[in-house]
Amino acid sequence: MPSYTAMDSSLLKSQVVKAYSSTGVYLGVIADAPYLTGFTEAVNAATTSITVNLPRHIDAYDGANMPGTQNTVVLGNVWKWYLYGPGLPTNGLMRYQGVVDTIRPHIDEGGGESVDVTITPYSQILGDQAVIGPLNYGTAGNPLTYVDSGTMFSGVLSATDPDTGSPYMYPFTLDGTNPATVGIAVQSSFQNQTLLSELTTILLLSPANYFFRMNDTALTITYNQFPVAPNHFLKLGQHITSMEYAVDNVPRKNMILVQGKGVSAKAVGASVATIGKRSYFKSDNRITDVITAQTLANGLLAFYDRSQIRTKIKIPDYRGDARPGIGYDIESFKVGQTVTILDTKAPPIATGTSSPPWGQFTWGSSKWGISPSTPSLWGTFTWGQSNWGFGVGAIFNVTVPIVAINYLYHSVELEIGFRQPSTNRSVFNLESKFSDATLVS
Amino acid sequence: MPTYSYGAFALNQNASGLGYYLIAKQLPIPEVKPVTFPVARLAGLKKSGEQVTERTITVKIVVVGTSRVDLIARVDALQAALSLRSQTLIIHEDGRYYQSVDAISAPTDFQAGNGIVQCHIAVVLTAYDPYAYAASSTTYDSGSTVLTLSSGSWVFPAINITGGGTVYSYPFIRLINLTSTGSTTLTANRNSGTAYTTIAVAATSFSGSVGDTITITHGVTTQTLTVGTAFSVGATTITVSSFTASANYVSGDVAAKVTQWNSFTIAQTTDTLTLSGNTSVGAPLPEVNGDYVDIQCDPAAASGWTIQTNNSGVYAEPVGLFPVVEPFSTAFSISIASGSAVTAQCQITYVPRYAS
Repeated sequence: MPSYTAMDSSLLKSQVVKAYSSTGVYLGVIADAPYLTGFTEAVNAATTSITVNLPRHIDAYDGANMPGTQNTVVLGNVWKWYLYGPGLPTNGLMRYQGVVDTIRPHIDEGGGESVDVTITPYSQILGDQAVIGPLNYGTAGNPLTYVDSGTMFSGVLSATDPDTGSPYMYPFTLDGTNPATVGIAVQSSFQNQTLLSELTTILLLSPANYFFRMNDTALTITYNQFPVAPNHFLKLGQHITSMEYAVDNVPRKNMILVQGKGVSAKAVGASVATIGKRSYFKSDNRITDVITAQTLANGLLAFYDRSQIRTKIKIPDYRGDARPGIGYDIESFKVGQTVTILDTKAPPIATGTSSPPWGQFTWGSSKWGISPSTPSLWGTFTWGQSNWGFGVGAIFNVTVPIVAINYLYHSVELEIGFRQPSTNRSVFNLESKFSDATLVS
Repeated sequence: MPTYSYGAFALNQNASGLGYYLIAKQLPIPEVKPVTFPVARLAGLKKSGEQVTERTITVKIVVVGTSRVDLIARVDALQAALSLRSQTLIIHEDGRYYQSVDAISAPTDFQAGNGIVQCHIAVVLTAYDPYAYAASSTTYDSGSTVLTLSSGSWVFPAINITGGGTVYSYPFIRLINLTSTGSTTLTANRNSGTAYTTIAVAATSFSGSVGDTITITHGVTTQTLTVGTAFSVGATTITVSSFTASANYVSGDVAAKVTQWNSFTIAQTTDTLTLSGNTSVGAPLPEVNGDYVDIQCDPAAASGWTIQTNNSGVYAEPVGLFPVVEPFSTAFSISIASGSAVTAQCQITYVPRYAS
């Protein structure tokens, strides 16, 4: 039974931040660390760093060689955030961990002294780790030697880095639930690439709707399909503080040309007939096999030739008061999971066309679906084949993947849709604008 | 008359109509700022957390002097005291105090009239810790307690503490190992491959209970034995569960009672707060009689939120949440994992706190 005090852990969530040396020796608790907030997790990307501000003197912040120091604020240390409270393990849920990468003591103009500490999560090896290679999978022009994309994914990550003697993915390991094979075999070679570049390429060579997730607390890498059955049901009127969604054809590409070394491939989408030709060129002299080039073109087309549905939803934590039905268990979200948003106050009798154009939908008066007694258009949606972007039901009552989580301690902002969020999205947009057919020499 | 003070300065020291008169004070409960969210299409708000802010206290003081010069001297003395930082503030009759208080402003209005030279000063104080602390600490002491075995751990009898005050307080918990501990040496060989039910030893300086563990060591080989019959200090034969010697143990080899605490768990069940600590090579928990482990549950203390044995300065890793003592009955369940029966003492010291 709750005690209803300010310290009642059966109602409230709390955190403990612990510092460890680079070799894993426990050093101490960071009792004055602010709430864990402000980092973003995304599919096919690294978790972002966080900077925490500690209210400490610039010459006595528990750094190296300071009097009485526990050496908790030292470059290379590892900080781990544990959460406790309703529905969380007794020993705590590790929600974030990373390496102390920057220490910035400062005195502001008002006389306030504090120390900013930047924590870099391990998943940023995606940008830091690189393969000089080459790592060759299959022989160009010889389909008998082609290698499954799933095998390629685990192979690249597990290969030994000659510079460190450890696998390229160290300190990560592969998630035990990853499929060994995914059913698409191609030839490819990797060299002079960052880990992110390699994994992105493999993703494009994989079947549609595959993703990878860097599990920064478990230190594993998940590579799998978005679940067809939703992991979470979110209900308007119960779980959602705010939401917005948009459907966007602006970044859409429907003619893909992949130019390799002596080979090329093209993939053209059906939308050319309706929205006109929108071209995307990719050149990479590491591609020497025509089938691989075609697979990559098809992958790019599947990825880019669709209306981009991007939805941002703010979900408050259900913890914090005696109304656990309001809000949601925000600690249960993972990128790569899928959600279904239920509008429990939607009109009970739906009429009208089965797929009204987006631009004609009037909020609060238009109706969607066909009728309660027959499957709606979205109820018959076929994963990976049906066309996104028809009907207002594109966001309600359908299963959509979580592509990013912006964690705010008391709440989360979920991005659901299919396009890479945040930085990667920007990079994609830039790449799309400036891409041409110039070959890598 | 109670003494109100800021640091060492008495805010109400007066005599014969002269001096300092504290004529008004404000003592509301600390302000709570809830973290709330609207929920779309739902009336009201969802609360997901809260923050208790610092406390601002205004006390009004009248300073009365015999002359303008005398008044200014008295005001100077007060302002000198108020210029100090992180002081304790006492404005309650029972002596409870606010800690780490700064005086952030003190507008002074000089007034003259009726032949009296006086001024009014409204001192604004900020208590960064918003709660008041009782004038003295309280200690719960279990005394030497023979713990009982439950689910593989040795458990103190249920502890219930009525903390006093009006809000939770942070305890300092000391667990002291009072188990009979020690080691002796074999006085007879135990040959490899042979089954035995006793070991002959030099008179022990320790006692043992059924189920306790004893290790015998020869060189780098160690074998763990289980005591079969309780024995007292001075025993020369220890009856153990049947064992087959894993090496040739010879007279003079060490036989030691295993009394290392492997872990402890403090479950404050009132608020569902559970804290555990585990022994490690770098930060061992108590092993021998007299060893103790301190659990500092106050995050603001110099060694806040730490677990350390024998004041070594080396901290064991805490797992879970540090417990608090509530003003009403607070239940604790404390258990210790060890290879032998545990006798221990638990001391819980805390300073009751008040909302104002």
